[in-house]
Amino acid sequence: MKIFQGFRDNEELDALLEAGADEFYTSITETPDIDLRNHYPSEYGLTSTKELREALDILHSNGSALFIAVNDTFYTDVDVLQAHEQILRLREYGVDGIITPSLALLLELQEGAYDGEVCLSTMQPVFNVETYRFFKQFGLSRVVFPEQVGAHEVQEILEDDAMQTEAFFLLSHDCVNIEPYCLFHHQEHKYLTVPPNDDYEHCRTMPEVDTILDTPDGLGKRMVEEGYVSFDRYHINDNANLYDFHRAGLDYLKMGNRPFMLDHKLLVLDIARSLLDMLDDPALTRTDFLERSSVLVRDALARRNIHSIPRMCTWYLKQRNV
Amino acid sequence: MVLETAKCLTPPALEASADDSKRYARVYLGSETCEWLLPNVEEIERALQTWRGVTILTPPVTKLGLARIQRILARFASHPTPLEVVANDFGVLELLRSKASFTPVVGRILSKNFLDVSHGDTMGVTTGKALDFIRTRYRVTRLEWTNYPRKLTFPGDDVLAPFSLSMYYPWQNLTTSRQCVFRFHGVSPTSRVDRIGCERRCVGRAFRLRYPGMVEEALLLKGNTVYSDTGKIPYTAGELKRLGVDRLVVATPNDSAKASRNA
Repeated sequence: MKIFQGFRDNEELDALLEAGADEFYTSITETPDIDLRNHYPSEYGLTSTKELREALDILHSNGSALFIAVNDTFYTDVDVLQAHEQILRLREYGVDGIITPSLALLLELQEGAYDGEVCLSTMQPVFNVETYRFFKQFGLSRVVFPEQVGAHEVQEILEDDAMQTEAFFLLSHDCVNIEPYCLFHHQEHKYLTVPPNDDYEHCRTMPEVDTILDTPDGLGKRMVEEGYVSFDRYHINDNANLYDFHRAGLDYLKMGNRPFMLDHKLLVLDIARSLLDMLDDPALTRTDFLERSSVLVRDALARRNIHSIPRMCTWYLKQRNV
Repeated sequence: MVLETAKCLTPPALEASADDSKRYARVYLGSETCEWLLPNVEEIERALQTWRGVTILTPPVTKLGLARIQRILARFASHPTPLEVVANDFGVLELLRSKASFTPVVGRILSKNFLDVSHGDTMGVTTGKALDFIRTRYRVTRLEWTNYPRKLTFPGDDVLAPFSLSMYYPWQNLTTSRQCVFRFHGVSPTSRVDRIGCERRCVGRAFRLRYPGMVEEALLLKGNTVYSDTGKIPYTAGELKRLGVDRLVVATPNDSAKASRNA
């Protein structure tokens, strides 16, 4: 299983290669000839073709590959043509592939001369084999599973050889809400009155809960007060999901932490690489992996004085250079 | 063009909502966010006896939901009353492709691929190629969206002419969790998710979430989804007609759930 690492700045690349990342992705926006929209701001990626050339030089000379996220779902007739032209330009620079969730863009690329790899972004979530079949018709090279999917839920897809498969390393990015459908994450200012620089603060805060409708014993309110979270890992048996994905033949483990600082990326990458090394032992049982991996993760986080996943999330956000 | 009205109901609320069948022309039975709230065959049959029009509302699904939808399609493929199926997952559209007796509809979650509100005051419409693709390959002629807090205009061209539009109101879905507080309450973190069932403990329950100083509006929690209330529809009937909206879908699932619990 290879590690697919997001990065925001070329200065991160040497350290990430050294730490064991195999392939890389980022975005490129606001250059005179390439401005491929993403849901993340431009500072989380490259902003000049000079940087793009440098990244490609570093990565290709190390036998690695570079993918560009074109992470916008919606295109009109006008802007899909512009995006198509710019993606062809990426290939001329030597970019290996793109990551896109857009049906409109896939239909456009299908009729053009683009010959690079295409990954289906997690912004177009694939939770079942029929959705996989839907997208298979576009000749995609890779499907990225939503971060809230369990390996056993997508077993049939993992067994199919038509596309490579990729799943998130959950320590790198934790949210139980399905990202493409989340208007907190996308366009919340259009629907809610929130402070201009809101950084998902309410997602990290327990709300005050008022009952509209409940049973007389107030059980529902207690369930909400005890269980309502956004930043948490989906209930997929902790690291056992990584074990299940690994044993089912997942091709890529995604580090979905592109916006965060290098320090965070290196910590998570170090944990992921150690867990993958552990999984190389074919005799390792699921139970043993659960036990050993939880100790490894706990110790690695404790060395940074991080003692719980929500605290880790708060730490991520503090690490963001915004 | 006649403006049709429809009401969203989860299956447990069906019995208590007989009166709604007189007020609304159509029931949207199921859930657009939760596969555990898909109706079973018996519930659909009951709805067909009571309501003039029946639409099966489906969410993004895992293999569990996919299997439930397949059972529905198998049972009602040759039913004399044609069923509409709202798809919020491209996989459900794919399932419907070979089922000519069902009318596929692109639901308001999936329609974000085709309609977009981030283009100022004008509704963005996707490429003609994408619209042709879902119309010809999947026989889709209806797209759905939600009443937006601000009044929108539509582009003047006729790219949407082959499509009818539904508009949901007043609840706008903001985010959907895979870790529903009601389903996962009391479940151990070490449980395998495919072995966790659902007792539909969300039925008859709804809550307001407040974030003082962070979010001005109160949010609404129902089941696995947080909503906002978009308020009254800002369009006149004539304006809706000009926009191409010929169906209003009332999405306040707790009204009937309340009746169900009180009953």
